[in-house]
Amino acid sequence: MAGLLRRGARQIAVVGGGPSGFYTAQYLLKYLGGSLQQLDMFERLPAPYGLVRYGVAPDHPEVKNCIAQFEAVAENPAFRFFGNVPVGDTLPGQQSVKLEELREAYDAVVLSYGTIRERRLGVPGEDLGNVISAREFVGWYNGHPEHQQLPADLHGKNVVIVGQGNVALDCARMLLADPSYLRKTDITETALQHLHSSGIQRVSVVGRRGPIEAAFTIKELRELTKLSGVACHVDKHHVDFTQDERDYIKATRRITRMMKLLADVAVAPDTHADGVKHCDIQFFLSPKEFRESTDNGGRVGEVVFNVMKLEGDIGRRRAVPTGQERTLPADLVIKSIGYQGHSIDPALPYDPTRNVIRHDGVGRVSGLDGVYCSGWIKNGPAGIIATTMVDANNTARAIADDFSDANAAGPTAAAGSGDGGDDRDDKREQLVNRIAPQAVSFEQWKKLEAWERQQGKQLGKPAEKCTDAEQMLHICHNAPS
Amino acid sequence: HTTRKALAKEDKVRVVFKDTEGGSQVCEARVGQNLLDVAIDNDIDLEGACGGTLACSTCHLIIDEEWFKKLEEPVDEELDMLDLAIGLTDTSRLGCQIILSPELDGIEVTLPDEQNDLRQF
Ligand SMILES: Cc1cc2nc3c(=O)[nH]c(=O)nc-3n(C[C@H](O)[C@H](O)[C@H](O)COP(=O)(O)OP(=O)(O)OC[C@H]3O[C@@H](n4cnc5c(N)ncnc54)[C@H](O)[C@@H]3O)c2cc1C
Ligand code: FES
Repeated sequence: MAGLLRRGARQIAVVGGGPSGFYTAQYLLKYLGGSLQQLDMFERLPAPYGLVRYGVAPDHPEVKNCIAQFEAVAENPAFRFFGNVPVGDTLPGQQSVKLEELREAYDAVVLSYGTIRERRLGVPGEDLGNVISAREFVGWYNGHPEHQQLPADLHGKNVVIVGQGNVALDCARMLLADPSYLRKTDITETALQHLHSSGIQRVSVVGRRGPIEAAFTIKELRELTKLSGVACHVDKHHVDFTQDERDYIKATRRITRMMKLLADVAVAPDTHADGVKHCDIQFFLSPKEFRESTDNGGRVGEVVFNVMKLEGDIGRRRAVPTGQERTLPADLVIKSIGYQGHSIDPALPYDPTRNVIRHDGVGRVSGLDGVYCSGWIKNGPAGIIATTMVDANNTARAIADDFSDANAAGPTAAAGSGDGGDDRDDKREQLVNRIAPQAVSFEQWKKLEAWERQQGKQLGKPAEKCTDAEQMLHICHNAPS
Repeated sequence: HTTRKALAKEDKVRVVFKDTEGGSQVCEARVGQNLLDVAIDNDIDLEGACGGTLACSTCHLIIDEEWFKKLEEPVDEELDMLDLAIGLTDTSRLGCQIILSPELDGIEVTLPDEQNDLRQF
């Protein structure tokens, strides 16, 4: 009887509780319906939502509305959340569940653990004081428990941000915005205080290539140009395009609109107004060396850049040094050159050059039956939540297709999947029992969320995040519901 | 024509959702509703990740040419988000920004086929 009931019933593990994990879960519930008997999500941190909680800027609460959808997923009776349960090797000493264990206990395992490490520039002086990564800075203002000791001082006047993606613009906005604007967001009180007393006057957002190649999107750029008390500048010469460039720009609406906005903010380099803070969007500069400050030993004081020019066909141009150099003063450097993935298990077919898990193009992990991937660890650290959602849909479809093929092939062919039997159930039960003492369930997370909202209420903001991992766990496990 | 008038009287309008494979579904909606809400009410596969606040682009729809011309001009912010939509066309709009008026009774819109564009990412 038990065997009959189990026929076709599936159990799936999802590793990572960010958007890709939740969207994959959502589509799996949709495609598999009642045959999805158990959908377990394992998340390294006590809190879910990945970069929606710890990446997306505090002044973009609308972006976080996708959480409503994730909560609906969590309400499904087949869904269980195991927060504070890292899978495989992410940080030394943190492993608590092995990938192999999940493969034995579930019909399918979806790897959605994002890209939580960072790239290095490989430029002299990168380890000087006050040279930090955007990942650390973003984690800091968003209350990430592992980034609360910001290894930087914000009292200097000049900031250089290396990189021209949306994350770079987020960082610039956080540094330049009036603290009264940020006060109503869920930025941490600590970050707010430091930003309030910062001496920052000028932020240069620097990229190797030209405006056509810039990775930021128009919404974020427009926002920066509209920020009160901040003057945004672009060198006029940089938006003075050749005929070939103009033809290229005209052909794509996205680029046409972006170049128009850049041209609108372009001014002659020396007309920078007083009485406001400045944001310079600087093109054609590649960092060559970070130099130590003369009066602040051990810390950065300036950045030497190679002035670059572009070669190749428009759309695929490479930046090459012109031989000229330029130096910008920098009391703080934020490297915003991208997040980086890593392998959590030696058995994973990990591509160390592209820094993604190898897969069949849809999300079936190469050479590992029953293992799938979605999100940034599948495609690399680029793309907005909408992209991540569409991608998760593809992964879920692949899983549903594989299950229905296995069902069609009958019980023998489906052995080890669906009819996996008591062995699989036992293993799952053992696993869940073992991690139970440390794990945070979705209900327990909701207690932390309620606590954060309560704290926020007293401060007149939507939430004040708990930034201490132990305290987070304490609230999850001990607060009355 | 009589049915159209009768519908308008009750502030009801029809929306036709189509997919790229030739399927379609006619939905009844109220004047004042936006197309994302209509889709959600009728279990149409359209997501509104940001809850209709112009912060995603998941509610992207392709509007039939003749209806596209009848819509009010999009604001800059909608165009900014649309620029990021997967499979953008000349008659693309964000569903959450299209508010139904009696003139839009019968509007035909297509859900973009996102699967085909995925390899670009
Ligand atoms: C600074 C920043 C700002 C952004 N702002 C926007 C925006 O405004 N709008 C927008 O649309 N997109 C934005 N994005 C992009 C968006 O955040 C991503 O598209 C999305 O978060 C990717 O989802 P993911 O699930 O693949 O990765 P993540 O969000 O990183 O989620 C991965 C999850 O896996 C967990 N994890 C990691 N290792 C393990 C392990 N070993 N075991 C278990 N769990 C693990 C992590 O803790 C995390 O919760 C932003 C990105 C960044 C970096
Ligand atoms: S639902 Fe996000 S823009 Fe329409």
